[in-house]
Amino acid sequence: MRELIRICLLSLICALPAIALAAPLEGYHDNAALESQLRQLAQHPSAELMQIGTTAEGRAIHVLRIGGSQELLSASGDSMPRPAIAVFGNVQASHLAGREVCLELAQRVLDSLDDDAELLAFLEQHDFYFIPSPTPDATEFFFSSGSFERSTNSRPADDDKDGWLDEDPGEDLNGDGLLTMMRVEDPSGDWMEHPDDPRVLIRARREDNEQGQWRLLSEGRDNDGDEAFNEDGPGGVDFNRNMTFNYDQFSEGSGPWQVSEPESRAVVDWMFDNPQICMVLSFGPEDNIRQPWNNDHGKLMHESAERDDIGIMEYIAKQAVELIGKDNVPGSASGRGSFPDWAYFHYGAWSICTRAWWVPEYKAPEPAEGAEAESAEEKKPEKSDEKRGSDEINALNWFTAEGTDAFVEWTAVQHPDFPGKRVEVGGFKPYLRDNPPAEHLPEITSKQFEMLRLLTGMLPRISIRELEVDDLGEGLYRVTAHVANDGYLPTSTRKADAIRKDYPLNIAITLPAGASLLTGSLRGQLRRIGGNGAESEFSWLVVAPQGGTAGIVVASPSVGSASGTVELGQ
Amino acid sequence: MKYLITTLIIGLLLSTGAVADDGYPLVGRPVDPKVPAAWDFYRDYDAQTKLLKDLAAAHPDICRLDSIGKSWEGREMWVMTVTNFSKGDELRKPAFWLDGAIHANEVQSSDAALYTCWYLVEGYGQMDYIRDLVDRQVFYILPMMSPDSREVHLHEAATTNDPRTGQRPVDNDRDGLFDEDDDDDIDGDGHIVSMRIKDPNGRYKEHDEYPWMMVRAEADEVGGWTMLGGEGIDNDGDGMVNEDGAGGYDPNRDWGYDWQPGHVQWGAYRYPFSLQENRAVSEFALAHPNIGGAQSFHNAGGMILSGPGAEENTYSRSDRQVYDAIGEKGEQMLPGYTYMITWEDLYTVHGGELDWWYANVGAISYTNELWTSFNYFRTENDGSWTGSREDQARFNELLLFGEAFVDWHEVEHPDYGTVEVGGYKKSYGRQPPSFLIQEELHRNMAFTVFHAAQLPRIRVADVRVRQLEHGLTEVTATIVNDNLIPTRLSVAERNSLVRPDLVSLSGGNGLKVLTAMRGGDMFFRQPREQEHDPQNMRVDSVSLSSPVYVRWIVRGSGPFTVTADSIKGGLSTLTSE
Repeated sequence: MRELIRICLLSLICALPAIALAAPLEGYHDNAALESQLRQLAQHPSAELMQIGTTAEGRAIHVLRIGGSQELLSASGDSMPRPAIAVFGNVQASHLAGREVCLELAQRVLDSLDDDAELLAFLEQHDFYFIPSPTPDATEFFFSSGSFERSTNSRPADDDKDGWLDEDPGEDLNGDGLLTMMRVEDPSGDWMEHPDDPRVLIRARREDNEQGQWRLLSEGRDNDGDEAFNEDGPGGVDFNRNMTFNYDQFSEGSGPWQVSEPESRAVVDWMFDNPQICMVLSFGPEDNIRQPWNNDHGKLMHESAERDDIGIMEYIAKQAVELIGKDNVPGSASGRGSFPDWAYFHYGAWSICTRAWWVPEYKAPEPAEGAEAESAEEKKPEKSDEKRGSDEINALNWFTAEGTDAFVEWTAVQHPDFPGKRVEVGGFKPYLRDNPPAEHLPEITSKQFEMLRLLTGMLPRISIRELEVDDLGEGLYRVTAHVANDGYLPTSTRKADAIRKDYPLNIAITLPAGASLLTGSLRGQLRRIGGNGAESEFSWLVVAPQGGTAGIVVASPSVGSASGTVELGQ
Repeated sequence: MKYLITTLIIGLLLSTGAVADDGYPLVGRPVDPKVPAAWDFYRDYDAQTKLLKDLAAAHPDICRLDSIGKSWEGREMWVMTVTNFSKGDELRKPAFWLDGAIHANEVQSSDAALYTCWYLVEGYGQMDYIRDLVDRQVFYILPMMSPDSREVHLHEAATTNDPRTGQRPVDNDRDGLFDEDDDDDIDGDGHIVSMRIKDPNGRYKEHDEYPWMMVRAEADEVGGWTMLGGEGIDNDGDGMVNEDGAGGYDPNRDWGYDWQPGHVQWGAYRYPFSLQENRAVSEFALAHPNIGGAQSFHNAGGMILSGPGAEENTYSRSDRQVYDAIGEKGEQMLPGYTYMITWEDLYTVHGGELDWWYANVGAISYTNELWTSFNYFRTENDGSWTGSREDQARFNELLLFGEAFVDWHEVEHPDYGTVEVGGYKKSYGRQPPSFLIQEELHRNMAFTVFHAAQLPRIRVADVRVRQLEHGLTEVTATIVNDNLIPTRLSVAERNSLVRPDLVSLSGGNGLKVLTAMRGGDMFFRQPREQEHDPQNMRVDSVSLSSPVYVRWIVRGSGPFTVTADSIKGGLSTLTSE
């Protein structure tokens, strides 16, 4: 006991020891490894690496474009960008798996270009943008410390609203390099042990005549004497709480105002500067595939998803879930100020967010057939039907079966704020319940790759279905262009149309020499065209006494373009 | 002839104020300014820059000129700091922010900020009231919030209503082209006015009394004219005229409180501070938490606007009381002006600058809308921004001899054929005519100085020491704020914008603080103890109506020193006898 105290005191004095955590998540790319991998990928002739911004700590935010080669683009002489799908990694920094999956998806796309005819055909007219790490400063914390789960950057913040910044961080009381939990034996506490596993604490129900036994706190001291523990740790602002839609101003992690951070500004400005992005895929807890949106985001009309879009998102979700699964998935986050919500509600793109990974359901191994079954049954301890804490019990079982050391056993420490009381430190290690061991990543990526291929097949495909010429006599012609969309998706979300964030299809006619318009304008706009063969039309009255060839072009950066010519006076 | 020339020279000298005091005690103007300046016209970017630089060079002890960033087109965002640099640390003095013309067409509002700057600096040696303010407080003054568009308004063809936007290109009509269909000065006379065409079926007619003015015909009347909108042509051939002019956003919908996107709040750009001019101000404000008051000059309509911009963002009762007290004084100082609540009396604004200074900085902030139609004939304010069109026409006829109007004349229009163009010049409608400019600037300056004089001033009023039994000593201090604005507004407490005030005990022999408490009153009948760090008492706010009583129980002997340290209310120290 005396030895233990000595160790504990020592660890209080010493700085945090080197990372104890990394082992289970070994193989994840730190910022340097990520950047070098991106540079590697950018060697491919169909890829290009761009920097769209720099964080407060000076880290680059990179976009990897995959599409037509530079030579191909410049040879075409067409300055208009091509419709694109943007794939974002860990928009919530602690969901590191998303970053890995995003990076690996870029690799898969490049690897497939040799033999995947469908993908190749897609890339003849579209681009992919991969942004594996939109928030590298917040992500860096995992690699430099990883002591607790953190999604905020390092801008000092007043999380507890007392007027001081970052003044009550956690402390590593047991010297394991991690900030886990702390339980204090106290009859006034709200927590009691789970009947099946005393490591798991569940909230006591006093109304059911249960007795609390522990106070449950995060690991550390009350540095600022406000009787709250570790309520104002380092940082910061969470990229995924800093976006403009449904923003929760002055709440923890939201920043002083919307898009206050360099990384937020870089991403949002880049998106607005690139209106060709028609779809956004991202990884985080605001999963709208396993739990599709309904129209209850907010009380006002503009705060709700549009009915037409909800129907389409449900159709996409139904097929996507077949590919990526949803067993045991946790509920989706509310997403106030989140990036996936912003991409739809304020940017107007199709926005699809999925959780890259979560702890799967633990399935006890089937007992061997025959006589042993019964004895195994007998050996098995009696299980209660307690529902509280079942996620934790499941996670403990799953990690044990995997052989992953994911839990710090409760061990007693001396705590200066609780003299004479029993205080124990323990709990789940940070990051492990949202991020799988690296060896699971390829399988996750394979599923997500199939979903990405599914999505590429859904984008709108416009064409000029027919150019109709009515000869009205005396050199007067009515030219009517029928513009069709044979893709599944409409040419924009209904939301983009409603908030005027879409680029309508701009349509223009070029006239043969000697011809002119009877009246009206050479250029016009077509609003949203539905999918699966819907069409829209536009007409001109042309005076062309000598006949000739008229050309029609219709284009929008997020949809693409089509053109055709028609003879007048034949 | 010689006499005439002499008179002219004297007249020139007088108009720049360069004549030394002739003994007559002229009031209402710095009498012998080092940097003479006239205030009957508007200064462009270069002229403002020159005046600011001249002031900074002439008065280095009380003002300093800095650029806090660059505009979209690369102009400097000048901020003049006015304070006595030899008296105290600038960042520890209560500070006031003043800016002008975030909407560049609201042209006189920029000169009003510049005038304030000039008056404070040149009046310092002459007026005790100003000297006292400049000694113990700081003014940060940014006269040109939208310098790029100011140049456009002053030097290019424009109307009194534009440009409200900055010059960053926006594809307003979403056709892939940026700013390709602006208005056009078809006849090249330097004015953007209206277009009309004779049309037997037109629904407009000439006004009976003021025939240059076009009015809608009554239902049973023949009109004779059709109005064709602002002077311009369809530059991009899409059938629409002037639909994608330069810029295309409202810089005053770009601020970080209650920001909403363009489909909810017209004029919002991409996100709060997505415009670099405003971002420079936001960064400056974050670096100057001592700012406790703010004023933004705009035009027009004779309004002293307070927030909130939107109904749902109510202000607390105690903060509202401060707003009311200052705003009502303003109505006396600015005849024809009305003190108003933006959403209730004007219109809803999300993401406005006014709310941001209050809710994100914790400053009492107003927006003054300079120029009131009351000034046409000083009878009644009819409540409209620019007055009735008849008053406007009559003033033009009687006081300006008709020169504010460009008479209707024919031009050839490429789309419409022969049309007529005519209308008021850009300098008429939202601005005072030359002979009324200085009064408008002065009254608004005076209101701003009054507002600034209400900034919080924390003070340790007394320190009393009493011996208790058992070798204990009791030290009691009274902390007051002599001014109207509290050291922390209730919004600053709620949103945690600045830390609480700190009242600290030091000095004495062998000082050991055992505990400390705040009394709800001078008798400490219901004391609130502070267990943690009792030497530095945390005080939520000190206001004129609520002094704070702090008591320490200590070991050791005096004299003891009490320091009151407020981010917005300054610093004060007193030692016991």
